[in-house]
Amino acid sequence: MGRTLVKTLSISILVIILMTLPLLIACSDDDEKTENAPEELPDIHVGMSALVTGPYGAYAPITWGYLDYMKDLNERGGIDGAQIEVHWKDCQYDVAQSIAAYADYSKSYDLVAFTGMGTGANLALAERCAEDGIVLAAIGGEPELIWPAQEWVFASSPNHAIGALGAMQYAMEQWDEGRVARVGIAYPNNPFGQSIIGPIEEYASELGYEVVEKQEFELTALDAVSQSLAFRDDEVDIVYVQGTAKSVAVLCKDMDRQGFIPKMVIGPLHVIHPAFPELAAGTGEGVIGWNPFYLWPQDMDNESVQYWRDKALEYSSGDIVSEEDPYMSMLYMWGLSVGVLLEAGLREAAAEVGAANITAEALRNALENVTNFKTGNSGFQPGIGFSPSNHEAYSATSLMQVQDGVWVRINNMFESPWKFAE
Amino acid sequence: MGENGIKLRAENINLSFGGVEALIDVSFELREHEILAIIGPNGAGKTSLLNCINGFYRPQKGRIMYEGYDLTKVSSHKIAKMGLSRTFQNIALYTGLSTLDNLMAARNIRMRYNVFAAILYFGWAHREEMKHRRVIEDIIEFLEMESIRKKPVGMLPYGQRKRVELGRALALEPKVLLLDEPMAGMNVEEKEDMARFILDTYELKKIPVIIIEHDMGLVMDIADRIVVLDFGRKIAEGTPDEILANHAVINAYLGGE
Amino acid sequence: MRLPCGIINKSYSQDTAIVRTNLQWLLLVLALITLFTFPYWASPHWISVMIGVWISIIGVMGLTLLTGYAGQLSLGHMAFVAIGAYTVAILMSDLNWPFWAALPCAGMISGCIGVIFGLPSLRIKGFYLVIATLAAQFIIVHIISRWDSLTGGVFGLSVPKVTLGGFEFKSDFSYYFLAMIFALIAILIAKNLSRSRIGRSWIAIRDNDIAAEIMGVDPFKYKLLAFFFGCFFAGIAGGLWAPYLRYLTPEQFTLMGSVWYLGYMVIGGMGSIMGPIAGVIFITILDEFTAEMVTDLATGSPVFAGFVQASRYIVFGLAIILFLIFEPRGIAHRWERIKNSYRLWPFSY
Ligand SMILES: Nc1ncnc2c1ncn2[C@@H]1O[C@H](COP(=O)(O)OP(=O)(O)O)[C@@H](O)[C@H]1O
Ligand SMILES: [Mg+2]
Repeated sequence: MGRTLVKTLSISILVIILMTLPLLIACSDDDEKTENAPEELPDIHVGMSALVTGPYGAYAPITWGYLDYMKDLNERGGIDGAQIEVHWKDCQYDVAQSIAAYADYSKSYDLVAFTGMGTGANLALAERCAEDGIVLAAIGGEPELIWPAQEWVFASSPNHAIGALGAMQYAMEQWDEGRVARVGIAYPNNPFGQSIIGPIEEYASELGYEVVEKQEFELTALDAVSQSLAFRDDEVDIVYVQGTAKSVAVLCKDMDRQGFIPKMVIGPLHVIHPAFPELAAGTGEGVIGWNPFYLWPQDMDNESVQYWRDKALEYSSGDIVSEEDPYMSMLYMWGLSVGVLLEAGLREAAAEVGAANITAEALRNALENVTNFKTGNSGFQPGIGFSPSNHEAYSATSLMQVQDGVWVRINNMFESPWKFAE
Repeated sequence: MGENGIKLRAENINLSFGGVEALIDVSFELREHEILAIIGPNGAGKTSLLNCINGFYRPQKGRIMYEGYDLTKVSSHKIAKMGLSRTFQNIALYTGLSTLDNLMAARNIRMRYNVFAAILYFGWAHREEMKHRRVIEDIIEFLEMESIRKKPVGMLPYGQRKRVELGRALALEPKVLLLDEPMAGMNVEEKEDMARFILDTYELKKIPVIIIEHDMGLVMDIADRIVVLDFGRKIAEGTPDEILANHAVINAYLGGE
Repeated sequence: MRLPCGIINKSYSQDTAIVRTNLQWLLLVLALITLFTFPYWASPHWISVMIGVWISIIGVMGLTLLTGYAGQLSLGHMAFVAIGAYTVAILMSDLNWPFWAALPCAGMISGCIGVIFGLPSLRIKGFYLVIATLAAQFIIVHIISRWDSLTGGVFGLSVPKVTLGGFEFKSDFSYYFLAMIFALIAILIAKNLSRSRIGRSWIAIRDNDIAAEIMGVDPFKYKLLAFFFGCFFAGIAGGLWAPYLRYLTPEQFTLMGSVWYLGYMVIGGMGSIMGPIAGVIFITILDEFTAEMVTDLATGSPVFAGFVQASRYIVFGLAIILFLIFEPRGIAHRWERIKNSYRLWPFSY
């Protein structure tokens, strides 16, 4: 009996320690003062509900890109000597966790900007940021966040609709059949999927095509037979498929199996994945994917791409760098672009009010005055700028295509046809 | 209550599972005041017969009349409310509950408070609970289970679990008690205790008891009448002495080769 | 349950009371003081974490009644949280209902829909029921993401703030109290149900459904009652989530969420009221700890990004596996045993 009691007690104590230890650690870490060289300028605080693990853990390079940009910016001397302190936590794409992180950082520090991950989190954060007067520096994504411009929300890269319209414009430039092209859209029923339908339909007459078929399909579906048949029966010329590498591959294979080969298949940035040609088993040849950045390995002649590839190797030990993987670098660039946005706004604000006096309000106002901001390190995207009616950093895209089983760049960055209703 | 002192009457019960005929044309009566034993070899259909009375099995043919109702058409939990309570051959206690709560669970049908009272608990529900707790404590005392009152029944030894089952059956305030091999697997001492409890209950509560038991010595001692089943058929019925003298029974059951 | 030597129950009523000794009263009062003053001394981060904990406790408490007590395994609990959340959101934003009227409605609607999805439980159990409840998860979330005119479809809808008189529950500080009070009420209701005839009947069905029916428990009534309360609690949890999150999208209510609810319950201990509380707190702290760890690991450079990512899964998974090996019956069970050994200390038997 005695031994059982000892065992019971020791396991109990272990459990208690296990339960309280993190609490103690978490409660006690009220910032040990960083023993950096004495700085006269106060730090500038920004926050991020990061995404590193969880069901969407594959998007982690976005976080690494953002963090690396901030680290690099600080090493370059920060904003006129003021260092930027990033507060971040892995929130696993979860809305509640993102809100908890936001609540924490916005109360504990004078945040000038916050960055969230995921549509749900961004929509929930947008309301809070507006209330508290903190800039929401979002990565590009759903148009809903940015059209129309919300006072406190700024996007660092073009949304999906801009990429889609850019790709459609390119497709129509290539179109030489002398008749109106018939376009079919395949999309998943979520914000990512639905965001492109409206704009593509809206620009049909302007660009000279006709949307004849819209097919819903799941990103996780194992087949796309009914979608393929619908496209075939409607004699679709161009298929625009808002999917992931895997789902686009499924559609390509099934269209091929139905003996239907459209003149052109276009996918979003997620399709530019090194595994896509193999996933599509040969049927992905000629597929086009749009992308708002220059990437490695395709664009190693771009100096900033080279610069960031080396930085990624230095900071993140190169897990993100691979000779064949444009997808990882695209995600990484996505994160970098938020850094560019913040640097642009902070530099403008520093010029206006001085680096020591940058508030969220000052940052917000300064962002709207940013025009064609570009640094030596931001050449992986065009110059960025905002206005009171436009809170999107830029609206350009570039295209890649599968040729002989690999992704090849087919053009440089060009303006998307989207025009803001001023 | 019932006509001519008959408490329960089974008429021409036929029960089959697919091809297996578990009960064939079985009829018997349970009188107002008697201990009726059902005996028979394994697989004879004894448990099935109790299950029919409980409404758990539905016989294809026949009726079981009790207080003017045909039990074969009443659902199990209502039959319990009508006062038929039982124990199971393979112990069927609520293993997660203590002895006390196993007994209290059987009081469910006698408790008079609704969901809203349960949510509030204090007041009405509490008073009812305490009232029934007193009844349960009497049963615990009667069955000498004080020391295991708060023990989860899953941890009790076999003999005690059988006793808790009897307690649970009594907690229902039965008008008829059905016992399916209550003494199986017990040692002599435990059997004697159990027999005493059964007889005391019978004396005290004045309710008829149906008992399935293999120990012939015991059956002869406590039963007033005996029904013998063999391969689903009733082959004999009578007092212990009559049964002992019955050739069919001796052949089928008592080892006459 | 044993008492410290020397304590003798003078009445049955005393014997069944939740709090019985002076020490227990003291602990209870201390715990309540800690909880009520928590926002005054805890960091903003932990306040918002605790809001999530309170709300999850309500939801998992519902699942504990349904699965832990009544034994009806459900893999669709998050869908009922969604129903509650959307009910509150729609009533508050479209019909301008006050939160205080919308919340009970959320519970009722969720509970009633739960009863509908609970109907198969009368005929099937075990894995078959799991599949039926899985269907609830998919059907409900599917309907929510399609019914654009009502729910805003996949883009979701925003939720107004909770007000009381002129006061707005806007800050986490105030919302903490709102969530806590509802959670405490939920815990009390669950405790009362569990120790009443209803709770005993649920356990009877769980432990031996055939015996339960033969001994007078109406399975129809009690199974559906379990579904009602299980989903009612889920609806209340959802109703509290909605104004806290401020924005609802269908993707917040995933199958994974339902699985985690089961996880909280199993880790905490299935058939006890302490279970959900312990489970939610344990997992949340573990989660916070591993998230903290990711930040710390990634801040020291250079690190392998992949290693940082993997570390969170490994530590989290390992902790849970070890826990289940050493305490398969959950924290609540361990807690009971600690209490018992304390009572006997220093004399065991
Ligand atoms: N649920 C059931 N399904 C199929 N056969 C059954 C079932 N219950 C009982 N039987 C069959 O009915 C016969 C009688 O069983 P039972 O009543 O348990 O016998 P006893 O209790 O006399 O040993 C046996 O042949 C048994 O296999
Ligand atoms: Mg039997």
